[in-house]
Amino acid sequence: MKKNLCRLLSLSAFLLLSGCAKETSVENDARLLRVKFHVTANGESLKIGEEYINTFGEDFRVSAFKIYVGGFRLENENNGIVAALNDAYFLLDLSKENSLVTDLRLNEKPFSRLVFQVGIDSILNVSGAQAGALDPMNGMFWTWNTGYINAKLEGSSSFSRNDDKAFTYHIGGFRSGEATQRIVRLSIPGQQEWVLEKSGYTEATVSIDIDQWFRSTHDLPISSVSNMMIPGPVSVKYADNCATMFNMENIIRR
Amino acid sequence: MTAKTTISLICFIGFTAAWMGSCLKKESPVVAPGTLKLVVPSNFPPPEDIFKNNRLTKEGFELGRKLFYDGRLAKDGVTSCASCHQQFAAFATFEHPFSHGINNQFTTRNAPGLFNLAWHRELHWDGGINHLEVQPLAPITAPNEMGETIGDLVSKLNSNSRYREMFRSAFGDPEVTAPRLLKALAQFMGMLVSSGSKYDKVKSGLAKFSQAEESGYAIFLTKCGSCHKEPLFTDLSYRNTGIPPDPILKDIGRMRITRLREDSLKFKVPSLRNVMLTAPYGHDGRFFSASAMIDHYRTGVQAGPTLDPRLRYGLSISNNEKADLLQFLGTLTDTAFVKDSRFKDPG
Ligand code: HEC
Ligand code: HEC
Repeated sequence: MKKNLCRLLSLSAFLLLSGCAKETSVENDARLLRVKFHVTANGESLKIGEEYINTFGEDFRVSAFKIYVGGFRLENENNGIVAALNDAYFLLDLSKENSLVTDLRLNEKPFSRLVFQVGIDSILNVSGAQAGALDPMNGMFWTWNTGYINAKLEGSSSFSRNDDKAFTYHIGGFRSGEATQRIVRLSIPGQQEWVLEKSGYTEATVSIDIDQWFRSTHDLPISSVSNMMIPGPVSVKYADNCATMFNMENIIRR
Repeated sequence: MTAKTTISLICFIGFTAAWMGSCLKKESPVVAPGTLKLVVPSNFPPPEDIFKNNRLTKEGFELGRKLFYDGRLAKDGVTSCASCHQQFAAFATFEHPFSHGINNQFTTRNAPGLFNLAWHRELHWDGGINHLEVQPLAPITAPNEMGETIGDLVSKLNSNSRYREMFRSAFGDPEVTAPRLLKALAQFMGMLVSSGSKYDKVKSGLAKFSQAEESGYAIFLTKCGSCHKEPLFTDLSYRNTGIPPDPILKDIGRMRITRLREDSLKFKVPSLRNVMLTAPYGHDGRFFSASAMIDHYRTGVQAGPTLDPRLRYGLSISNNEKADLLQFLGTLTDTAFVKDSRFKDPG
């Protein structure tokens, strides 16, 4: 009994201490980098339900676009990684404006590249139920074949091979040979170095060009693939294309 | 004194206050949930680390048990996990090759018994699920099983004060979330340990096999034991035993998950513990008795590129040997497990 009491005491002390420690461990000198993602098609803001034409001349309308990003870090030419936020993942969802803005707290060292991962680390695909952005409730999880859907694009096109003219791409896969997580490195426009200032914050606008989904590293016209919802070689091609969709448009102080 | 130690000191005082029942932060006192332990039978290998990110507690287990028996997890409000996984059948579906889901739809595979799951690295006949915590997502969302969405289920349970109370006791916070629900179910299912069969008693010197059981055991070890490996009675591998694929279901088994040709028609070796309670047999439940299953090994094995080499010529088993083998399989029934009140419907 006494032993249990002690254990309980030390447990609650531990919980409380770690709780408190967490609040203070937000580094005093951490600065805010706000990354605003801007989804585009044909060089304009992509709007759900509107018609666009991809580089194969195929018309398409998007009904849903969601993609996981995470593992943000800052790098510079001389020192490599200067700041990192390893564990945080964000689900960018075209239908939810505020999901496209991610606030990152990082330190002040000069950097020349913003680096992040598209998709979820393989270890988190095999570690049971996750919370937050990774909550299976977000609909980005395969139930009968465990694993995260790293990117989802759904819509319609007259070029679709399906009777209802829909297209559905659920891209994921983490096993070796089928991995779909990709690292994206974005240089600061104008080859400069950037420092996050103490006052105010920095805002970087990163565009996501849907045109690249269909054609960049690989040619994937809607007329050839109208559905892809399992891991494997074709999902890997979409992942390669996904990694090229991102581009830093500008970076400014606010 | 640094800021950090000052904070720590404040925390320490805070903790003392919390212990006295008036936490500075939480509205109500935090009662540490009672710790529960997975008891590993002495003849079992070490289990998988399935509770690594899921602290086993009495409250978490009880919540999982309530969820397992609750029809509210399904769209129709009545099809619970337990409607397909019945305790008296060692949590398999009694006497049905396929299980009834909502709206009278059937599953396309036979529901396996649920026990000793903490030793399984992968679940389902094709091993498509890699963690016990995420397994329930499959039946809950499958249109032919429970047909519910996770979002709707979470909001349904969040509007139930009894559940909110139970989530609070188990996780220190009343909010029902998908990961908590899944962790609670994993606690209940992970605790289903079956190791009280006559076979186990014989192994620990507390009982004796009859002569027929003894001889059946010897046959088992030479003909069956390499795949249905002791003490779990499965080596957890995937194998093609030459069961011809059903022309309508066209179930390719493990290949559906790995997309490798060499895995075509391979299915996970099922445990034979409680086998006499889990009829019918096989991934699609086509064998209505253990006797029919053994006859398959004797005469039904169909050749094919992925057939397990051990079964190339079938297994030669005489009628007498078969009778003894069946006697031995009977010793794998764990009656204490199927009557264990800890695992019953909590009502
Ligand atoms: C409609 C019937 C049905 C319902 C309802 C159902 N199951 Fe199942 N269960 C099955 C079938 C069939 C399988 C085999 C699936 C497969 O292998 O593809 C299975 C497999 C399992 C397994 C894997 C066992 C193993 O050895 O691989 C677990 C664990 C499980 N179910 C738990 C649950 C839980 C928890 C629930 C409730 C949330 C549930 N089941 C609801 C029919 C059902
Ligand atoms: C080569 C490995 C292997 C050998 C040897 C083997 N089995 Fe199996 N057994 C399996 C696999 C795999 C399954 C699942 C088959 C399926 O449904 O596709 C199975 C299924 C069964 C089942 C059905 C269990 C259930 O819950 O559905 C029984 C009973 C069984 N085996 C008994 C035996 C007996 C008795 C022997 C020895 C005479 C034996 N097996 C030999 C691999 C093997």
